[in-house]
Parts: sequence; structure tokens; C-alpha cells
Amino acid sequence: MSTAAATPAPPVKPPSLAGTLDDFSDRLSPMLVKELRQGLRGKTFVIVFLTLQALLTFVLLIAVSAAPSTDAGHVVSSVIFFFYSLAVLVVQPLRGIGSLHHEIRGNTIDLMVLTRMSSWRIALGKWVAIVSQSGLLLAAIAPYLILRYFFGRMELFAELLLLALIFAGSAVFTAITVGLSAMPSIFLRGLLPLFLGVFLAWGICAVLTEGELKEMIGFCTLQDPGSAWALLAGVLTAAYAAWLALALGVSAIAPRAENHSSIRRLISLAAVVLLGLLGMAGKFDREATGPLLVLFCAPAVAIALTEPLTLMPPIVRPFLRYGLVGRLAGRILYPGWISGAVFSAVLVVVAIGAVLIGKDSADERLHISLVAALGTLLFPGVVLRLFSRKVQNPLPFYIFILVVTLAITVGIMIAAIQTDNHPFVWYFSWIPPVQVFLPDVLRDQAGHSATGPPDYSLVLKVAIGTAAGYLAILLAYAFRNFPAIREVEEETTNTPVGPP
Amino acid sequence: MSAAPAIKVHNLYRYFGQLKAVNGISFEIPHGSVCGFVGANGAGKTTTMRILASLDYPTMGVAEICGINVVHHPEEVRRLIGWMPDHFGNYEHMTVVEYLDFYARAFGYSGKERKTRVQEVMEFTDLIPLADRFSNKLSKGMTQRLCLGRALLHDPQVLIMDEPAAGLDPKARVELKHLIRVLAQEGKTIFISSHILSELGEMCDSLLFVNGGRIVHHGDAETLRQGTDSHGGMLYDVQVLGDPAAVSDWCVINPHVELVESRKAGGRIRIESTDPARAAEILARMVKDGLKITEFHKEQRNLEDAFIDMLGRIDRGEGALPTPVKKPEPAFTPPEFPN
Repeated sequence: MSTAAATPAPPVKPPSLAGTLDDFSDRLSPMLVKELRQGLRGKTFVIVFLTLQALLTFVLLIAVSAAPSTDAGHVVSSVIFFFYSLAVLVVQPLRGIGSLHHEIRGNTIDLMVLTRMSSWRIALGKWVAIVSQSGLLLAAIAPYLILRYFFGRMELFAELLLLALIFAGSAVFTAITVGLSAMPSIFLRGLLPLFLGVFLAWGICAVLTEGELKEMIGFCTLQDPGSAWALLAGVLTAAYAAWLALALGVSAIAPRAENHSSIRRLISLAAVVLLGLLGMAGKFDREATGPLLVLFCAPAVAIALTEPLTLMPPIVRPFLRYGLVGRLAGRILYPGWISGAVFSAVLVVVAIGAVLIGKDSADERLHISLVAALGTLLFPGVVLRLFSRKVQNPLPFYIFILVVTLAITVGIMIAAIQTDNHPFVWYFSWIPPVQVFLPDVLRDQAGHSATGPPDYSLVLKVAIGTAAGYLAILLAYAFRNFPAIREVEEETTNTPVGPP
Repeated sequence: MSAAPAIKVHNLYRYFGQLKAVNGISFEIPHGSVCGFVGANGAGKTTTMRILASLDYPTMGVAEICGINVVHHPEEVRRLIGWMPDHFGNYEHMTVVEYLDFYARAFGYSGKERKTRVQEVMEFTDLIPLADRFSNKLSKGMTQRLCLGRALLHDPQVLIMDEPAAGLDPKARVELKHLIRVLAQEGKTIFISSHILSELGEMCDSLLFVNGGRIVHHGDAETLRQGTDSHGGMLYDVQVLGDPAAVSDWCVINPHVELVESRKAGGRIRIESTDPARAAEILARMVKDGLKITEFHKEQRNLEDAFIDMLGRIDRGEGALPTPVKKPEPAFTPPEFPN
């Protein structure tokens, strides 16, 4: 484009931009540069930063003067942790609530995807910008930590580790708010993070007012047996949750011709396998690995069963390169709920396998709970298929059904206890979470009418039967729609590969 | 430059459930031309443009930019096009120069080249004086210039502009028109939608009229203007002294004369004959009936008249719509998936 042709020759040469726009390196992601430029000028960060400083200074002075000298160190720690946690764990992550939604609403996501910037870079840029500002807050409390050190009786390593864990927790919660901010549903985008934020704020207050901070610092000394493993498992789970939330956001903002589902599913599968292998290598109890595996499966299954379908040639083509193997892999990894149902079946089977290869356990109640939990994940998927044509936002609907199912279960149990009519609970045994309480029903029945311990294997069979039944229904729906997938594959095969 | 047309659309369909937003349109736009895309709200303009920009996908049919299929090769297409949406949000706490710098980085420019590109588009769009203004504090006209600058950063061959003149004041419109003409002179292909037909007529080499998701006319403005008036008459501007409603009242009671448009001092009438003698007769009758005529002259049919006339013909089922070609080998026909 020649500038000369555009406007009549200006009498004065326009000022050059040389020397400007150098505030951030070219190596940084454009999105991060944009977010930092905006974020550091934004009122929220400046207010949080200055308020944290002012409050820490003010309250520290009062706390130190008021507290008995022997406990002054702990008071100082409490004050630092309280304000730092509130700012970093609650206020900062909640800033991510509207981040991607504002871009979608303002049509600017379209403008960004037309550049060379990938959807991942857009979401990551948003996330890193908020996390780096939380990092600035962490750096800002360093002088107070030095002050705290001089009060004595400081568990240096443990307190620093706790601060780092709070920071990591902030990063995870920020990823969740940023990832969910791309969702069209206000429930997922706004209410859920707000609820989590309120819950976290309540937790922070509870920890500090009930003197549990000392216990947490004690845990962070890693002196207790198994505490290091527990920490590692917690960090891995948090990292997985953060990645999954961001991946969900990325899928929502990506152009339809981009496939982000396959890699997300592969990583979920790999995480479950890895966890199973770790459990086997470390000879961990099923009581530890089982719930963790269900926790890993839950979001992956929920997303897979609710994913909208847009199969297009650019998505299908990479699979078709591998012939029959690629087509078979596509039935598990193509975006959309059809392959999502098959993927869920595979994931559930792998998770069960991962539990079984671990240390053996005779606890039948654990097995019942695990199978019931997997059934609980599949049940809303089946309800969703029945009402699929009327559902606009499948994922919020799935969560709604899940919550309603849990609420119904609680209602049934309250009714059973109040009427002392336990056998009627069996009528609701097709609702997976109810199965968790069936051993209690059996025990009570045995207590009334029989001698000897009750046989829980019947409950286990019921749990396995219903979970398998729900899986079969989902697979039947999926198989019924396979011809549609085949149609896209055929069209892709029949069209030229490269641009002319 | 590719031998294929800059934009090619063949039998393109886009359905949103029962709504047929685009209903089998086909057209080609050669390189270096400016094509106006005209139609009422909901006619399918934005949907077609979004498909061409690889932001949406067709239910069926082919859309190509410089011979590259937008469904099969969206990445390649994005390097060739510049996209100006009908509306977009600006960023808070970000200056004009930072806004362009962000997109320059996003397009992959770095170092000196990045600054040069930003400088060039700022000079072209005359944004240098606004460099340090916050981008969300700009007027509509300045915002459109900023948007044009962003769309030009990667020097695209084809510019797709959706209602760029909407909401602009006359001065900003003239500026935008000037910029578009300069870009056309530089050989860029411009596909532009607008409601303001007169402006498109001056700016565009060809006009594409769309109605109900189908193309109803493709040709230059002059062909359309000179096309046969379906009413078979002539238009006259009539101005009177006194109450201008006298013209419309007179038209109501006189057959073969129809009021087309009320005006400040009278109205625009259509006389159902092309014979000048008939016009003289009508004028004489008006004077005889007591209308104090100060002006009576023949008017050319403008683009709005031609467009409305054409839509009227279609509504009456008189005008034959171009029949869509029999289903070609579609590049992509996604099946109906239950979601």
C-alpha cells in the first residue's frame, strides 16, 4: 500500500513511531501485551494493589501493638495470609469472569481469529495477564514477610510453600474463570465462579478465625507421612483442572473449522492412565486413587457428552490420512457428543481398569460408590439425549440435571429416614447417587429381619447394571448417528486436498 | 495474482434451522474491482460476508477467495482477506497506536517491520493525530478509520466491509469513500455492503442486490438505473406554492398519476406514460385545477427507485429471479446433526 497515493502530499512529514511501542518485547504473546497494557491501567488492579498495601501496613501495626509478644509472629502471619488470600484467591480470579465474554460480545474474537493468533494464545494471554498481576501482589507482600521473620518462630519453608500454594490456587481459579467466561450461559460464566469465589472467601475466613492456619502451615512442613504425595496429587489435579477449564474456553472461541476436542480427550485419557500407573507404582490405596480418578473423569465426560457438533472437512481430513485406523480413532476423538459418548465409554472403562490394577481393596462400599459416581456422570447425558432438541445450552443443562439428581437423592434419603420405610429406596435404585446409600438400607433391613452381615454384592450388581445400561443407551444414540459422520468423511475424501 | 476471480460464490446456502439466510446465491467478482452488496436487513448480506471471511460455514455450496475454498482452507483465506465487521467493540485503556500495534503483533509482524506497518496504516487512515487517544473514546468515523487500518495491516488482497458507512456523519462518509477509492486504485478487490445506494452507485464498479437470501440483480449501477420501469411511466418533480399536500391530494383524485414521494414543496409523481404530450396535458390540468406550480421537471430514476421497483416486481411475482444452477459438486455438505 503506497501512502503517497492515499492522501495528498502532506506539508509536514507525520511524526514517526520510532522509539514508541517498545514497552513490551516481540517475544511476548500479543494477547499478553494487550492484556498487560490494559490491565495495569485498569482501576481494579490498582485499587487491589494499593488497598492490600494500605491494609497490611495499617492492620499489622495495630495487630503488633495489640497482641501479646509471644504470639505476635502468628498474628502477623494471619494478617498477611488473610489479606493476601482474599486478594489473590478471590478478587484477582474473579476479574477473569468477563474476559473472553467481552471479546465475544464486542465481535473482537472474530477479528483476533482472523490474525495468526491461535485460540489458545488468546485464552492463555488472558490467563497469564491476570496471573502475572497476582504475581505482582505476591511480590508486593515480600517486605511484610521480612517483617514477619523478625518477629521470630516463623516456619520459613512451610509459610513460603503455603504462599506459593495459594498463588497456584489463584492461578487455577483464574483459569476456571477465564475458561468459563467464553461460555454462552450466564450460569456457567458468572454465577458458578461467583459461587466459588464466595465459597473461597468463606473458607479463608473460616481457616483464619478457627486457628487452622497453624495446621495448614504444619502440613506444609511436609513432615507427616504421605503429605508430600498428597501435595503432589493436589498440584497435579489442580493443573489438570486449570488446563481443562482453559481448553473449554479455547473450544468455545475457536473457529468451527478448528478441532480442540481431540487433544483434550487424549490428554484426559493419558491423565487417567498416568494416575492409574502412579497408583500402582506407589501402591496407593483404592480409597485414594479411586475418588481422584472419578474427579479426573468428571469434567472430561461432562464436556464430551455435551459438545455441539460441527464436523467439517478440515477437522476430518487429518484422521482420514490414517485410513481405517484414523476413522476408528475419529469415532472416539471427533468433536461432538456422538464420538463424545464413545469416548466417555472408553474413559470409564480405562478408569475402572486403573482402579482395578491398583492395590486391592475389600471395601465393597468403596466399589459401589465409585461405580455409582461413574453412573452419576452418565445419567445426565442420557436425560440430555432425550430432550436434546429443546436444549439450547447442553453443558449448563447437564450440570442442572446433575444438581437436580443429587437434590432428589437427598430428598429420598430424608423421606426414608423420616418414614422409617427403607425398602422404598430400592424403587429409586436406578438413580445412581441413590445407590451410594443402598448399603445402609441393606444393613438396616438385615438388622430388622436377618442375622449375619448383609451381602453388598447385590448393590454392586445394581450399580454396575445401571451404569452399563446408561452407557449402552448413550452408545446406541451415538451409533445411530454414525452415518452422518460417515457422510462428512466421504465428502472430505471426494474433495481436493490442497488449494489449487 | 491468481487467475481465479477474487471472490467466487457458487450455489451458496446457509440455513439457521428453518430460516434460509442465504438461499442459493452465485456470483463472481474480478480482481481489482469494487462490488457493492445491497439488500434489506435480514437479506443475507452479513451471513454471506461472514462465510467469505471464514467466520461462518455454508450449509451447502462453494465460496472461494482467489480460488481458495474458504471451508477447506480457512487459514490460507485469512491471509488474503481484510475484514471490517458491521460493529465491533473497542478496548478500554488502550490507545489507537497500541490497538494497531496489538493487531500488527497478532499478524506476526515484529521489530522495525511492525512499527513500519503501524505507521503506514496510521498515515493512510489519517490516524497519526489520534495516536495517543484511547480507542474507546473515538467518534464513529474515527473508529471506522481505525477498523479499516486494522483490516489493512497485513496488506490483504480482498477487503470485505460490512456496512462500513453505517452511522457515519457526511464528512466521515466522504473520507471513507475516498479511502475506498484509493484502495481500489491500488488494485485491491473490495466487497462492500451498504444501505446507502447512491453512495454505492458512485463508488462501485458493480452492484449485487440480494433479497430473501437470493441474488436479484448483478450489474453496474447505470444498467440498473436505466432498466425498464415496471410501471412503464416517467417521474416528475412538482413544486407548488402554498400547501405541498395539494400535490398528493390532486394525485388521489386523478387517474394515471401516482405520488411516489412527498417533498418539502410538493412531491415526486409518476405519470403512466412516456409521451411528453401526456406530461404537458397533466401539467395543464394541474394548473387548471388551481395548483400554483413553481417547478415541473422530469427526473431520472435513481438507484433507490430501481431497487424498490425491482423488489415490488418480485413481490408481485412479475420479476423472474435468477434460477439457481442445479446442484453442483458441493465442496461441503454437512449433514443435519442433532445437537
